[in-house]
Amino acid sequence: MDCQEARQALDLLALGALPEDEASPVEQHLASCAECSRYLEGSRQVAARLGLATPVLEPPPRLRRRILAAARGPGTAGVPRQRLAWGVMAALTAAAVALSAFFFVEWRQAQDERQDLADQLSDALAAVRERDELMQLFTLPDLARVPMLPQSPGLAANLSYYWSTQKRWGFIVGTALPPPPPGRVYQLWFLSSEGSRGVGTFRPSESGTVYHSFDLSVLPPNWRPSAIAVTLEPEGGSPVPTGETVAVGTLTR
Amino acid sequence: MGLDYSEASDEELMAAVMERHPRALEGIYDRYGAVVYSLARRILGDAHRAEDVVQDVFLRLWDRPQLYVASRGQLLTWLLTMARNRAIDQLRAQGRQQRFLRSPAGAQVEAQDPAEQAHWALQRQQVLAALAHLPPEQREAVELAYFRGLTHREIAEATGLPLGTVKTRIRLAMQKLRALLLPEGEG
Repeated sequence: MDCQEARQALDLLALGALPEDEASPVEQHLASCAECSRYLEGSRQVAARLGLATPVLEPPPRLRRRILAAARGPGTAGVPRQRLAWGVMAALTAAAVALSAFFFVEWRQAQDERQDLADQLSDALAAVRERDELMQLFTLPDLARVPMLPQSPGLAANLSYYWSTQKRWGFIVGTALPPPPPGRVYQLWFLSSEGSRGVGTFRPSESGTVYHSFDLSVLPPNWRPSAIAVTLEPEGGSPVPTGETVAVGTLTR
Repeated sequence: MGLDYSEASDEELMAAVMERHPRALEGIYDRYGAVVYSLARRILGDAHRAEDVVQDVFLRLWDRPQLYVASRGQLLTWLLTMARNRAIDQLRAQGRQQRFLRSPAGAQVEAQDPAEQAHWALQRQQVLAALAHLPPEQREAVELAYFRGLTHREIAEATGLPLGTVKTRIRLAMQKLRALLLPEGEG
């Protein structure tokens, strides 16, 4: 198998579309070709990113607890397992261990379920509280302020977004924002799980201050974005975000 | 050690996992648990079975971190690849027919941290934008392979196309995606 044949098979392998009976010549080729091994890693990265074309859902809190309890508890490879004594002692000890393990598991499941209920209640209360705050914010006739957090450690910019949903109008103000790289501009996005909408591009002044207003009538009516973000995009703006994220602000708090 | 698990790099977290620090696994789960879960759930269309897949993947990383280290790739790539393969294995066990059906959506709770939601929403937009560059037939072939777990022969069978056509579509699609999604120099 030459490199050209191998690469076609490697793309299929990375996507999980290579039947098992066709895998072995590819594996043989990979074992002796560093270039194609690198190519496969690239294909795997591309395939894995397809997995990100999925709206992100919050897993239930019990999943986190279950995984961490299993990692901390007995029975995982990292924790040295106790060796039991031989003979009768072994049988007795094993029985006792099994029994206490059984009760421990039962007890932990009960704890887990109680914790789940408590989590659900506190999530629900938090959701109600957040929604109340949001309702108040949206019924206020005046402006709401959204602080925007810089996303790269070296960025000292201080950005805020003010907006009025009633007037469908908003503006960004800030200081210490560096000029964008040549050929690029900053672009402001409204984001929800359904997607993103660019509302306009802007540049800071020479001293790094920002003041730019945006007409929000480009946003669909009744669309409830949950966050805003500033990204670096090609001059003239981009229909979808493609560049580095500069700052993010949340609209729900 | 004074590692801040929420700020540490993936490499630092994995080094701590190798040294058996459970909080490092916690840090990795907090960073990637939701995306891994979301992918498993999309493929399987079932919340409980998606949870099992996520648990398998993270405990495998904890039990045998050397498997990841040996792969020499990025952590997120490894986690998503493992989750995708596990989920497809389950789908296969379920029977071939069902793989042609769309996954039921079910009740969904969006990721709660809005900054995190924004980060993944941007990532998603970039991938969707790349997929939008593909002709529909190439995109379909790639999606049937990745999300439905069909081999090229099964795609040919399902779509009634010659095998060579399916292979060509996938090759062209991957070439384009590689150019759009890989950082320069890695393509």
